[in-house]
Amino acid sequence: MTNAIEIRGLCHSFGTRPIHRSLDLDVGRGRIVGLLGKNGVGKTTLMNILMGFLRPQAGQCTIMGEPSHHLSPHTKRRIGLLFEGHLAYDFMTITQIERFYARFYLDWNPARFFDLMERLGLPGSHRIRHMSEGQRSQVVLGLLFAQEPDLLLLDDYAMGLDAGYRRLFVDYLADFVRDKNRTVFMTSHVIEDMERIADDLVLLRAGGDVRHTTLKGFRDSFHCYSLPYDGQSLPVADSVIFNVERTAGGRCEIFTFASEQELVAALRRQGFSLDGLRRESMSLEDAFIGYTGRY
Amino acid sequence: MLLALVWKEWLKLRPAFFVLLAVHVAMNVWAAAGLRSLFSGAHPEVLWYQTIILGNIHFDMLRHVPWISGLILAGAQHLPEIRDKRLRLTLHLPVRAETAMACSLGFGACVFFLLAMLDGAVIAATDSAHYPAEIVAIHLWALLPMEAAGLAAYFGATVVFFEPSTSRRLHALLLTITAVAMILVPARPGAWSSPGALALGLFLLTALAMATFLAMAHQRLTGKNQ
Repeated sequence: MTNAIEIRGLCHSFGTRPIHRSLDLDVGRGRIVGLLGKNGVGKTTLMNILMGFLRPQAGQCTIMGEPSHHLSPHTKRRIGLLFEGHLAYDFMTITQIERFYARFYLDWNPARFFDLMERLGLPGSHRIRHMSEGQRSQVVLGLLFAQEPDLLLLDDYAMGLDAGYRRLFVDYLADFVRDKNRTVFMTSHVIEDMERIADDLVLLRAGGDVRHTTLKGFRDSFHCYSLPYDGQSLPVADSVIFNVERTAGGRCEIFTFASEQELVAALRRQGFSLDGLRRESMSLEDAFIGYTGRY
Repeated sequence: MLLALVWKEWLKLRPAFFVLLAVHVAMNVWAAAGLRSLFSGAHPEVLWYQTIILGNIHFDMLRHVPWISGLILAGAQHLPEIRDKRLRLTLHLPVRAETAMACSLGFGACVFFLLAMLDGAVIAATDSAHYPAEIVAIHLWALLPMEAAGLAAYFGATVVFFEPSTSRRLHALLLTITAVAMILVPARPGAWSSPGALALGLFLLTALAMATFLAMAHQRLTGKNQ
């Protein structure tokens, strides 16, 4: 088995609203994959299914070769979960929570946990409920690292973290996962972090549209051009033009996976003048917004 | 691993346990002082008559203490885990969910049992100074439904906490209230010593305990996990 995660024909809906329609996805071992999408497109649903807290209505979702909703204790040991909001047993102290989790994991590595706790500078008797979100994120990260998991599922790890703690989290995580070729599948609303850590992106759009690509492949193949906007009509999406967005300053942005020649031909077909057409540089966040749309 | 699970339950229950222990001790001391005062102000034959013929019990103020204790224990034990979907932390531990649940319920029930034993021991000790063994036994049988109501409240509240759907939660709440009320219906002291009553009480407690596992199984794959 070369894939840490395999999803085949996954379907899930809430009432009459379909969230995932026949989703297929493989995550190879050792890959760091960012799951991106706007609110409501099914990121949390997919994470819930992967984490084993939701049974898909149809299709299969396997983690390390076992159905995600029916993982054996042995496989659970190999998976580290980070829950939205950095959930932890907040009635425990730093020392207590390390002592508790150490009993469950055969490869428990306390040095990893206490290394982070030392940097945190809090006494072992400090109760987790009295910590800030950033401090709690360090405790959770320390517990995940000490567990020495093969697969990490991280649900919105950036939630509630300031820029400093977020950077600390991402850098530590990057070193940790590269160290032993671990697999990471994560969601975040902070797109810029993905540039620092992700190998692959899974881009979800409303209606169940999914694109699985390498980060480099996405950056290299997805382009943005801008055109003066006369206030009358905008180019419309077709087989060449992926998306069009109005921007400030009387221009519109045209996003495409096609070459500039193909775009020019498509714009001509739609009757647009090419005066003022120019290619725009994009950050990953710009590209994400161009791909998923603003509304 | 099981010891770690039990330790986690103890960490949650410890503050509530010591508060409840103090409350139970205080109520028992009050009941014992009341009994002593009764015997110092009235002829023992009158008090024996009141106990044997009229069915009066001197510790009736304890009637509502066990079920309130059961509710408090369930809240102290389970609320920290179901807040913000923290139950997921336990569900992902490398043990079977049923094992974790059994540990949690078993330990909570044991803690409640300790409080019930304290009530029984104090009543038996104070009674023995004033009454013959037969009356002590009747009083302990009278205490039994009060403590059983506490256990029912503990299990019932646990079901309500773990149940993910609002309608099922309301059903569980109604069932729990009915069970607790049924067990607490005023009855002649010793009435619960009959096999039929004992079987009914055991059935109610077992059903509520089992319902906690059903509630856990029901919410396990709904994505809600409280």
